[in-house]
Amino acid sequence: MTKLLWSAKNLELRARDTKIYHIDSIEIHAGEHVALLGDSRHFRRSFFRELAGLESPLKGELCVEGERLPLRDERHPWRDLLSKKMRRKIGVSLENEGLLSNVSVRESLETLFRFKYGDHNASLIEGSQRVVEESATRVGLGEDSLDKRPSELGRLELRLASLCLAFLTKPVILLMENPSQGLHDKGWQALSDTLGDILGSAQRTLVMDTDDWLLAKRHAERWIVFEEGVVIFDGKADDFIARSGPRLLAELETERWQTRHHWIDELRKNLGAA
Amino acid sequence: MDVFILSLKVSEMEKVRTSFATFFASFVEELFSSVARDRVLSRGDIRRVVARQVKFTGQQAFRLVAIAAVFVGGMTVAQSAAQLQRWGGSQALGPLLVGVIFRDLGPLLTALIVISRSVSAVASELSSMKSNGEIEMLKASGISPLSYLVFPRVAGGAIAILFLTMHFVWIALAAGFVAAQFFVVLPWSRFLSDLLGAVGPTDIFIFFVKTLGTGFIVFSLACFYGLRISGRNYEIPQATTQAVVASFLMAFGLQICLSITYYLSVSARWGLGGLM
Repeated sequence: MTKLLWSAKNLELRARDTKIYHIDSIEIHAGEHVALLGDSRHFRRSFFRELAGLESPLKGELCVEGERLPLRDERHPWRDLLSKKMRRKIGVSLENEGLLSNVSVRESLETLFRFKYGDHNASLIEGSQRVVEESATRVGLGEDSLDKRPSELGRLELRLASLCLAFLTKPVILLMENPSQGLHDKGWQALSDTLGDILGSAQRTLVMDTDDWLLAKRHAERWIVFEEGVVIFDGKADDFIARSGPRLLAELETERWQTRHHWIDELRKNLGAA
Repeated sequence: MDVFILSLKVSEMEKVRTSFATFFASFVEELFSSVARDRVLSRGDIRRVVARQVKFTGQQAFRLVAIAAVFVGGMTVAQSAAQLQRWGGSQALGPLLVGVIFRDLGPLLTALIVISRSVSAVASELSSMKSNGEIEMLKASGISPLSYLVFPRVAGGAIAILFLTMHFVWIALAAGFVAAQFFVVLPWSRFLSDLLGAVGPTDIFIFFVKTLGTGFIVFSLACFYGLRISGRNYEIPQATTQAVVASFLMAFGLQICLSITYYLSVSARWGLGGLM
């Protein structure tokens, strides 16, 4: 059995008295490739952000490598929820890339790397330059893109720059938020190929929050499907596809963005019958 | 269930939670722990941002502060010299200038200029960064926004206010001396010795507390309001206005409190004559 990375029990999010998101139990192990799927506004993103240590749960229990995350504490909104050790293991690529807007991508990445890993000395400066270049090569981000500001980059370049940032620390766990958001077919293909390279070359854990079912089919063998804040499916992608009717595969190829609700209906019917 | 409306409420809820007291307590705690944990002061990148902030807040505002200082120094002398001469008290001009400019108007007016110029800029810069997702990216990379963004701005802002106020004071005193020549016979040596005689160690202590304290508070407020937004663009001007208004109030409040404390302690020790 591989190492348990995350375990969530009875996680809840409430707005006033209404329960808007609830997870009974989910465990994610090292080496798994997991996709959190479902339409937007169904709170898969809330769960993703809790996994990434960007938000703490309001109620319930979320453990990262056996350490329980603190519940939301209004007195310490700025404290990092994850340990430094865990942060080094995790690379996060957010939907809104958030690269520093007033400097070039290269400067932004180098500065962040230096800040994270040590003092401002000659060896670190040299080291950060090398690490940024290696990481850019790894994700296929060109030299010219590195020297531009984020506002001068196209959508695919931004996604790759965000991946490059996530890869600075050579993480063993990759968390990606809506990685293919806003990409045209060519860009989508390039990103998908890059992801394939990255995931194929090392034993990495991937957790991807997305509404792109086709990308999930390519890169994640485990699907966790959310609807209205509840997990309606957690299992193998093939199992979901098998249970959701024959049309799913064909529809995935033609329309990768939208959840077809008849898949979900079909799935429910099959799960009920089972 | 209207998930969309509920999701809005969640973010609103979050915004309300981060009250000033919460943020400020967390900020001070995080600031001290960051300085120790991340060795923030030894980092060249941070020192560069602090220097940039000093340049932006201090050097670039120098001309504006100089103009205000010339006006205030000149007007203070113009208003008081004629009256003092009538009552035979022109020797009190030096101590009067020290009292008015060094203790009160210098720190206050410099703070007001800095708030108008830089506090608004810092608040809008940080709220734009929040809106662009840059703050979130820092958090996701394991970098504390307080160490990386807030500390250099607060430290740089406070240092800049200190130096700007020093500039204000000497320019206002020099302008006061020049203006005094039109009303009274006041040689430079006497003016200088009057000034030096009027400034005591308590004055210098209060001066540092006022300038650095105001700098710390107003730039903390700028960062607080800038980071407090939930991430929508329309909140940026609101955050900027709130930061400026709160900074004005806090700067006035702090300086009035310190002045009252100072005058009460001095008058208790020396009687009213000790004020000058």
